[in-house]
Amino acid sequence: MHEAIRAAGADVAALSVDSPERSQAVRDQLRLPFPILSDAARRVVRAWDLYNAKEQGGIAIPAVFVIGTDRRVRYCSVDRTATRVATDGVLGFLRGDAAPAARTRVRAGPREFARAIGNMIRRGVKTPEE
Amino acid sequence: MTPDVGALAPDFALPDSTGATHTLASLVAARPLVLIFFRGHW
Repeated sequence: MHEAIRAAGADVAALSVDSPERSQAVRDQLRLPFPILSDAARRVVRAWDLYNAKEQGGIAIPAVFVIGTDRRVRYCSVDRTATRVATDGVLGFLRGDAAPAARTRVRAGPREFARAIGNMIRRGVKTPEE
Repeated sequence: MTPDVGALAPDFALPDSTGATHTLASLVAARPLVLIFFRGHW
């Protein structure tokens, strides 16, 4: 997935409320090549309204953003349940599958899932194994 | 609130897992950034 995003012209970073030490353990375990940012004070997740206070002492709500070089949000998908749809949608967006007018806020759900599957079938998108 | 499409994402400065500090501004300086918020480790 990371290779595909890099090939599409963007970088990747992840963010959670885990400590840097725990995040590095996740990076080691999953062999992730991109940085994991540590929002231990939960300042960013609260400022972005992506804070789930009810679970595990307060954690991030899963979400994916594409942020342009002007720091403007170009794509946003907020997931209420963890899915792979968000990253498939990001790849489609970065490849230009989405029309420029489709800079809409995406709430991952059955429609997005169907669209991601449709894109993959039509275009034969393959993401390299990480 | 969650920054909407077209809005400026609020800048931040956070350490990564190696301890190095990154600002959002620096992360998007060269190329667009896919920023993934995730639940973290249990």
